[in-house]
Amino acid sequence: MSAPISKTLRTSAGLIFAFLYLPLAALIAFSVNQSSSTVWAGFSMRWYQELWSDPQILSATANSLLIAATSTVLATIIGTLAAYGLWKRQSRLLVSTVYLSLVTPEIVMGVALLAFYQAVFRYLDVQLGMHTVILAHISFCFAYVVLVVLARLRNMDASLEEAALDLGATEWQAFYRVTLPCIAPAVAAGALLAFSTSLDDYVITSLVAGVDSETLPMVIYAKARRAISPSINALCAIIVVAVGSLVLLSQRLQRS
Amino acid sequence: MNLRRIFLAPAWVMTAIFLVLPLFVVLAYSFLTRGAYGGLQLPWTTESYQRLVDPLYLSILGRSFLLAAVVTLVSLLVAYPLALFISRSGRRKMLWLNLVMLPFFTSLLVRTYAWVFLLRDTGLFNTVLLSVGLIQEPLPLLYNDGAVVLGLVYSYLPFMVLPIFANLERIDPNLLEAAADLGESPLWALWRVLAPLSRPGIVAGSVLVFIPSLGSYLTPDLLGGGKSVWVGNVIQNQFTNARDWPFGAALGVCLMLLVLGLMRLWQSKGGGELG
Amino acid sequence: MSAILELLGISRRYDSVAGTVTAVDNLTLAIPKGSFFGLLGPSGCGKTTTLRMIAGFEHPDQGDIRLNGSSIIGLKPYQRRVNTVFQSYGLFPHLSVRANVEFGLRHVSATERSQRSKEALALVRMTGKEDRYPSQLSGGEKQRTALARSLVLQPEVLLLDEPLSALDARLRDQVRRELTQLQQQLGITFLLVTHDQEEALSLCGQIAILSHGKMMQCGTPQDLYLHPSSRFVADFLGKVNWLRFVNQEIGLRPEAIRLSLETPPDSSRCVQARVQQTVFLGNLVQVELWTDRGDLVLAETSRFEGTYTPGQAVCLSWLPADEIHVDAQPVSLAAELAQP
Repeated sequence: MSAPISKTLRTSAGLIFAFLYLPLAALIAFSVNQSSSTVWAGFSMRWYQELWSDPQILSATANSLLIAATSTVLATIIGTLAAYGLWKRQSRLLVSTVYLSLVTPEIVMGVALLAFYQAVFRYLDVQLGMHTVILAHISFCFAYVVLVVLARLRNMDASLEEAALDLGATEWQAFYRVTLPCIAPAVAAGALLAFSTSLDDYVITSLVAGVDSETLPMVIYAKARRAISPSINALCAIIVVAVGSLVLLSQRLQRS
Repeated sequence: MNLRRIFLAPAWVMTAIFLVLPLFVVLAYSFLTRGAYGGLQLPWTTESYQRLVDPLYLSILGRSFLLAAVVTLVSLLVAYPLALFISRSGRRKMLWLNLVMLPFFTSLLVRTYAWVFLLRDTGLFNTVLLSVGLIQEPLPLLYNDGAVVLGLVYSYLPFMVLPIFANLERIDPNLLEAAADLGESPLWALWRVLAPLSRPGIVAGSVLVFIPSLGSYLTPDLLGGGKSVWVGNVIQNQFTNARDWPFGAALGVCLMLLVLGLMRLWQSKGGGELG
Repeated sequence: MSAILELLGISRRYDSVAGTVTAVDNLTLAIPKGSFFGLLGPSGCGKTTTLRMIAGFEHPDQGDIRLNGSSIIGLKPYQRRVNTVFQSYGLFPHLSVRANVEFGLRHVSATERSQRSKEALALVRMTGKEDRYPSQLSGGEKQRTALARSLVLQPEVLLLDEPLSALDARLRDQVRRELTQLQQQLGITFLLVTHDQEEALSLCGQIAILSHGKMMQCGTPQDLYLHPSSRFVADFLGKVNWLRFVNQEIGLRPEAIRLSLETPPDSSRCVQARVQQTVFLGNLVQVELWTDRGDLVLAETSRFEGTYTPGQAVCLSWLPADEIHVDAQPVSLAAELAQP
C-alpha cells in the first residue's frame, strides 16, 4: 500500500524512531566520554581500559561465554531433533509445552527452577553452580531453536526425503544426508538466537547461579544498582554491538 | 516411526524435568508452611492463598494489571503511526522494519539500564535541562510508575508494531481509495475503515505486550526502585529477602494462571501462533 | 510376456473430514516385463496412491504387491528394487548433479560409482554438466538428472509421476521422444502415472484406466480408443458423440463421421441431420448438427471438404466398424494374461 504519507505521519514516525534510538545512542556516546558525569568532556577510551583490567569483569565474561557456548550446543541439538520429530508428525502436547516455556514469565521460571533445585539437593549432594545455570539455560533456549528450525522445515519440499528413501537411504541417512544439510542455515540461525538469549539472561541466572558462577548480566545489574563508575556504559556498548551482530546474522541466515 | 521417537526423547526429558516439574514444585510449595528460618515445612495449608486475598496484595495484583494495561495502551498509540508509516513506505519497508527491530536485538538489561542513565538525577535529561536553565533542581524522573511504563513500552514496542504492520499489509489498498471516492476525508477514512480492519493486528499486538508486561520483574526493579511494585518484584522478594517461599509460590501460581488464562482466551478468539 | 509387477487386490482407505475415503478399491493388475505401462485417470482416481504403494511410501490395507513373484509389501522403500522419478524431480539442492546421481551408490566401490554415474549421465545427455547444481538447471535438465539418478541403480521397475506435466509444449514433444527411446534402449519396465490422456496414449504400450480407485479398462492405446468398454473410458480418451440409431445407442468419434449432401452409395450407415452452426478452428471446421432423432453431434471436417451453412440438411455417415458399443464389463489384463 503506497498511499501518500502526510507530514504529521512523517514527523510522528521520526519522533518515534528518535525515541527508539536515543537511549542506546546516548549510552554508546557517553561510553567514550572523558568525564564520569553526563557532561561531555572529550573523547576517551578509559572506561574500556578499566573494563579490561577488572578481574571481576573478565571472569564474569568467561563464565557467560562458557555457559552460553555449552547451552547453545546442547539446546541446538535437542531443538533441531525435536523440530524434525514434530515436522514428521505433530505432537500437540510437546508444542504446547514448548510454548509454555516461551510464555512463562521469567521470574516464575527462575523461582520454579530454584525451588526445584533446592528440592533435588536434599537427596543429591550438589550445590548451585555453573551446571545448574547451564541446565536452566538449555531449557529456555531450545524453544527458540525449535521455532526457527520448524519454520524452515515446513517450507521444505517433503518429497526430498522420499527421494532419498527411494534411492536406498534409511530414515536416519535421509535425515543426515539430505534434510540436515538443507536446514543448516536455520539450525545456525537458531543456535545464534540461543546463544544471544543465554548471554543476555539475568533473571533466571541470578536466581540459580552459585557463588562461583557470576555472569556478565549479573555484573551489569550490580553496577546499575550502585551507579558509580561509567564503565558500565562501556560494558553495555560492547554487549549492544556483540549481541546485536549475532542476532542480525541469525536473521540473515534465516532468510537465505 | 522409531527414529522420530528417539529424536523427540531429549526434548521430552528437558521439558519434563526442567519446565513442568519445577512448575509443579512451585505449586506444591504454595500449599506448604513457611519454616522458622526461611525454608519450608509441613503441614499442608492454604494459608498463603488466604493471605493473597488481603487487600494489600490484591491491590498489588490489581495495580500490576492496571499498569500493564497502561503500557499496552501507550504502546498502541506509539506503534500504530509507526506501523502505518512503514506500510506506506513502498520499497523501503524492510529497511524501516529492520530499524524498528534493531534496538530490540540488544539485551533487555542494557535497554533498561539505558533509561536509568537518561532519567536519574544525574542522568542526561536532567543535566541538559539544568545546563539550559529550564529547571533549578533535578526532576525526579526515575523511580516511579511512569518510568517503569516508559521502560516497558520501550522494551516491547516491536511486539506491537509487527502484528499491526502485518495486518495493514493484508488490507486491500483499494478500500481506502474507495473511501476517498465516497467522500471520506483522510482522517475519517482512517477511523471508519482502517482502524476496524486492523483490529486483529491490534489485538495480537496487545496480547504480545500485555502478557510480558504483567509478568515483568527486571524493568520495575531497575526503573521503579522499590516505589513501583509489581507482582514480579513481590515474588522475587519472597524468595530472597523475605524468605517466605510458600507465599512467593502462591503469587507465582496466580501469575501463571493469569497468563495462561489470557493465552487461552486469546486462542479461543482465533488468535494465531506466537513467534 | 510375463508379468514383472503384480498388484493383487490392493485397497487403501483414508479417514478424512468427510468420512472414510476409498482411494484404491480392490485393484488387480499385472504389468508385463519390459513394457512402458501407464496408469491413467482423472484426479482422485487412485493412481498416485497406487504409485506410492508400489514405491513403498504407503501401505495397502489389503492385498499384495509382487515383484518378480515375491511379495514386497513388507519392504521399506530403500529395500525395493523399484525407483521413482518424482513430479517435482526431488533433486537434492545441496548436491551437484554428479553427487545427486551417485547418491544411491554408497555401497559400491569408488571407481565403479564414478563409472556408472558417467554412463547414466551420458545416457540422458547430461555429460559436461556434472558440476552444476539443481538451481542452475532448466526444467528439462532437472528431469534428465532425476532420470539418471534413478536409472543408475538399475531398478526392476521405474516409476514416473506425471513426467510431462511441468514442461511446456515444445519441450514435451522432445521429452516424449527421449523417454520412448530410453525405454526401448534399456528394456527396463517403465510405469507412468498421469491424468493427461495424450501423455499416456503417446508414451505407453499398455494403459490401465482408473476411476474412483477401480480399474475401468486395460489394454493398448488402440484397444482403449477404438473399443472402449464403458462410457467413462470412451469420454475420457477423446471426444465421443452419443446418438440413437435404430434401436441402440452408439458412440462415434468425430473423425469417424462423414458429412455429405446425399446418402453415400457404399455400405456405411447414415442418419439425416441439420446443421446448427459451424466453428472455424483453423486446421479444422467443427460442425454442430442435430440428428433427426434430436441428438447433438459434433463433427469435424477440413476446409477442403466443402462448406456447410446453418440450417442445411446433411447426411451423417460412418462405417459399422467405427461404432462404439458400451455394455461390456471392464477388461482386466490379468485375465487376458491368464489365457494361454
